[in-house]
Amino acid sequence: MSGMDVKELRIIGFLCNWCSYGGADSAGVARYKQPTDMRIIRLPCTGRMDPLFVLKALLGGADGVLVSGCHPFDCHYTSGNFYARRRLQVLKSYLPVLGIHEDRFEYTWVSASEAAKWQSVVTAFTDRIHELGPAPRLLELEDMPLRFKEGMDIWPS
Amino acid sequence: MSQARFLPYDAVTDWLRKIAETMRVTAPVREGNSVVFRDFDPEEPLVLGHQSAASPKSVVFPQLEYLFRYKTDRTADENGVRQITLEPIYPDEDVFVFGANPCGARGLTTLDPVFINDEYVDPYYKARRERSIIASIVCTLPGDACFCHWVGGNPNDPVGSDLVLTPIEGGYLVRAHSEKGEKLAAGLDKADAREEQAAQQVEDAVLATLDPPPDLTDCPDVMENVFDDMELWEQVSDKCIYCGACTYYCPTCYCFNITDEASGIAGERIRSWDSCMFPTYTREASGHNPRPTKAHRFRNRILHKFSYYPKLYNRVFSCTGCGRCIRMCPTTVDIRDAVLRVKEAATKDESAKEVSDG
Amino acid sequence: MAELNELREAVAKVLPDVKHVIGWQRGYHAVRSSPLFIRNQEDLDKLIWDRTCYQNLASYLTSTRGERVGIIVKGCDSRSVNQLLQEQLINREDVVVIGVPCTGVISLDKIRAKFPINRVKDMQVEGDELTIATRDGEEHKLNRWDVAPDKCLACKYPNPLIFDTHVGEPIETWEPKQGLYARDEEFDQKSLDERFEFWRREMSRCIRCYACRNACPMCVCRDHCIAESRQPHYQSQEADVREKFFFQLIHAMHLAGRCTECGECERACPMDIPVLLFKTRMGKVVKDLFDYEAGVDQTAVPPLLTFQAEESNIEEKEW
Repeated sequence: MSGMDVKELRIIGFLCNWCSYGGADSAGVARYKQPTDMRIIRLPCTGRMDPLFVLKALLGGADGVLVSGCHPFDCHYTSGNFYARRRLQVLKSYLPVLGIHEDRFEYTWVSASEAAKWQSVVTAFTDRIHELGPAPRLLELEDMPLRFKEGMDIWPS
Repeated sequence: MSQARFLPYDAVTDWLRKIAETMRVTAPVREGNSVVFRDFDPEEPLVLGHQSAASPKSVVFPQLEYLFRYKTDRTADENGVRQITLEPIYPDEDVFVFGANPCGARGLTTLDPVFINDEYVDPYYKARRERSIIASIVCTLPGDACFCHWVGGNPNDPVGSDLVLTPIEGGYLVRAHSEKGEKLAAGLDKADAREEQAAQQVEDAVLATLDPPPDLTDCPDVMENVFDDMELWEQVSDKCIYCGACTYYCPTCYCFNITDEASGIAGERIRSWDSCMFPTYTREASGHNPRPTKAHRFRNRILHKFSYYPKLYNRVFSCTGCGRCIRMCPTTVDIRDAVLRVKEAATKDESAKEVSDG
Repeated sequence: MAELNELREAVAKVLPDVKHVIGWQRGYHAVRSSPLFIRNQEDLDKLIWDRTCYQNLASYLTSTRGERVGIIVKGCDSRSVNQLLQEQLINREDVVVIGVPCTGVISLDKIRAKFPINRVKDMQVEGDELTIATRDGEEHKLNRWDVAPDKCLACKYPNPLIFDTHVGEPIETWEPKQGLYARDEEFDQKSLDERFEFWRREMSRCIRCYACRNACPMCVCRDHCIAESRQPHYQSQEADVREKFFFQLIHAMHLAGRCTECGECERACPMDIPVLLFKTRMGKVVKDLFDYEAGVDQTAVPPLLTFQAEESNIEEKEW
């Protein structure tokens, strides 16, 4: 099954400016075919990654979150990704406590030159989220604050 | 006085079920170790005669209230102006609160003059107040932290209740204290003289168990004498951890915050509870905070309840003695001790002043 | 348990050199205690030491930084002091630690689950038996292990790990009544959906009073919590379950590798929400990944403030 054939889910990607963001860009320039579920947020470094960003996204309606940065030993700031790895692994192991499948979150390392790797990462992750389906919601749509419902009429999907 | 009615215990559920056909009914149930008000569910056993964790205040003054919503046009008109459409959201449901404690019901009357007065009427509060009916149950087991009779209430106080229910053998004696209450109780059987007498006995018996209260009537006159005695305020507040539990559970606290939340071009204005115990409550945009320490904030809470408020509104304390702030406090800060200590210090100051004036 | 008299003597010795010594006094009934800030002999007479001394007083330490204060700690409480020192959130020379070995306290929540402790006349303690008499003439006999907080059932540190003055003889660590918290084991058995539902239900009761946060000895941001910040705007003032749940996640994430599992958050919760579960499960994650336990070693480096280039317990994934 491919993410490209079915209705999009909401996936948030937090990408390091120096590596993965460049990798994703290269993949685009090279016209590699990719699923379109992911909305990318650019970070200066995965060391900037607060695990709360992921939780906020997951509770805010995201079905999956991917963090991607420089390979270990390749961090633009020497060690940002080393700190990130510990934090993100703690978060990943903790998600099941909240009743959220740990596969809804992943972190990976993709360099700026690895356009093909980015394509396979984003495809594999999107497929995985589609297999899991939409994430459980704390609030049903009718209980959501009105502005979110308003937003739905206003912004075409 | 109007005709008393009788509601057998085993008829309570059916009575509420019938009322629930025409309005929202909320009643206390157990969740974990807590007694909380929830929408009435005939399957869920009610927990009556115990004080609920939170007071019924939120029925008229909810923790969260959407005041209005707005939407901005996606594009600007020829003058570059984008129109904003604004739509107020008014409360639109009738609510019957069944099984409050008299102290919780009394709390609603302390909110009234704040939100509905000659100068200003809060339409949201007014709508909710008019559309709610409160039935309270005479409290037969005042707890260790209770002190309603210190501040003008008592375990069968009808102030704030539309209906007061007294537990007697086989059921409740129901007395109406408002037209709304009368209408609601009209369908119930009339009580006979024997039942009325039994209720009277229950009420007298509770009153007899109360210790004589200290005299707090001069609090509004003297307490501000020690406004600047920071050492005193530090000592009475030393164990406070300045969470908002006391104020959020209080049936008379009414401070609120107003914020806007937007998502894209749509948004809402929100009114939510605030607490004078939080540092952000008085923090100014500059960063300066006129109440920088918990001692300052604690002083405000005590003086507001026992001095500022009664001076503004008919010398009624903004405290119903329900004891929630004591019971819920993680560190068992006892407002009774604080008031007595402050009053004592203030009276000492007062007599010293009189001597020097003389 | 150590004798109250000995404890009083120890406090009296410290008292002239400090602003106050923090201990416990009787609350408004016999089963409740309340913190006591001892400034003079009159205060000292109110000091108690028994199974009702449940509160971890270390929560007060960060607010008096720069002033010399004394504090009485049980074994578990001492871990919080250790952790605060380790993170340099308090200065060692500002704190005089009076350590008391502890054989366990009682939990008001657990007693409340058995009967409403609302009209207490008195409490008698004989060995492990507690007898609570009510004003209505009832007598409730309880075994103290049945109403002990989970942390006592699984206690590993009955003796203070750090102290300037030690009162009484160190006691032998008892065989834990449970290896792991029974409640946590039960929770772990739940499916993901059940857990999600569990939290949705429990958190819906929350009233956002922040008692859990303010009671926490490790919540040191105090007046600058991101939960109340508009910039960054992590949380709105809305009282829906998403906001309530997210606040607990803030608390849990900010305590990762720091929480000493003293249980103050849950004890403080007026709504009896099992918020300690968030932290004990986080504690397990940190223990599994980094073999680290907070508040035990004052010189250790917190696991999230360091890294290994080659992590021993984190597998590199192939994608």
